[in-house]
Amino acid sequence: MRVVEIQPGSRIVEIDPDKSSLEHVALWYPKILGTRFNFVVSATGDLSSSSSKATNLMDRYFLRAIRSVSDLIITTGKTARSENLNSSKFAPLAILTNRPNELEIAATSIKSLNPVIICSSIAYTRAYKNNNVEFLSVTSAGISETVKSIVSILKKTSPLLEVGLSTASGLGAGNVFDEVCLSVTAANSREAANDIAQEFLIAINVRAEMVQLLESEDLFLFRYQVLK
Amino acid sequence: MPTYSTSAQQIISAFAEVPKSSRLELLLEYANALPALPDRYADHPELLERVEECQSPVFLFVEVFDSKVRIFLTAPLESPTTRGFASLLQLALDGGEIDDVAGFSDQFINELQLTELVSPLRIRGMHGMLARIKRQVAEKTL
Repeated sequence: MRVVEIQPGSRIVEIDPDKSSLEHVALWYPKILGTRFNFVVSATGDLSSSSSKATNLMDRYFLRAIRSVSDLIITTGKTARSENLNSSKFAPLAILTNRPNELEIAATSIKSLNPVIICSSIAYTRAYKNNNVEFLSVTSAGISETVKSIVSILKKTSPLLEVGLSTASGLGAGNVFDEVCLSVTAANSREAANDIAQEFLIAINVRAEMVQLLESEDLFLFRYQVLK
Repeated sequence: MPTYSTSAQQIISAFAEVPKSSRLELLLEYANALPALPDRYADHPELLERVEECQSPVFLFVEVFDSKVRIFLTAPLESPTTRGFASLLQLALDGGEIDDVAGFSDQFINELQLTELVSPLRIRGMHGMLARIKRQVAEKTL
């Protein structure tokens, strides 16, 4: 499949999302010293609580590319449960939850290469099948402060947030994001995708400047630098 | 000068009373007020009509019963201004008389004074919602 860079340049790269190395897109998604937030929006109105229907093979490929340059993936218990998240081979997975003992998901069940770190202000009293599950006690401060403290305690520099819209809205207001990566799937035009992306930035309380736009058939991948 | 229902007039007044810099914020407050679809439509999305003029996925359904019109709209949380427009139309028109909804002036959208604050695409989307509401009312009152 062809991926066309619309902004800032005009590169064209052929990618097989099942087979191509992530190096093909490394220039588009460099490691940053800051916090990235990644999200997928469907233009078709799929109201499913899981993102699985809103994504496609190419979008998943780019998610892997973004994960591969992150040193910590942070999510919430709600997202982890709804997506049945697995651990990542690229970075530890931190799950922020107030139900640390009720996290029956792939990440806590299947043995993992990287640690799965359950972050909670509630005591952790049980063991999961995955013996690489760790526990990090956090204060019950606001979501933004908690995320910042997790990154600080774990001494990470390039975290990736994968959270739902309401959490993202709080984190955006809390000035947590440095970069927003947004995939708009099933969009019938660049104009439509751009309008949906602009709306999304309002929804997450972020003012940002687009630094990159890629297009692959009906998938549009935006990268925004957050203005602080 | 068009005449509006009390609820529509209240919306126009609300936008007129706030400074330009706060109008978008007000619209986002309305976005939060959009009621969820009742189960009979939430469970049967195929009954809803997509508003193709909106870039974001917006769907609607109109019921006409006993000379009154019920308006049901859904718009994603990721699209707060579009959702705000849907909420404004729902508030302005829901429960109205058939003739009032069918004759509701498109000028209402301009009266909100939002054209400088949101993209023309989104304004076009709101016109699309209103046109489709009126069309459904016309079809259901033949």
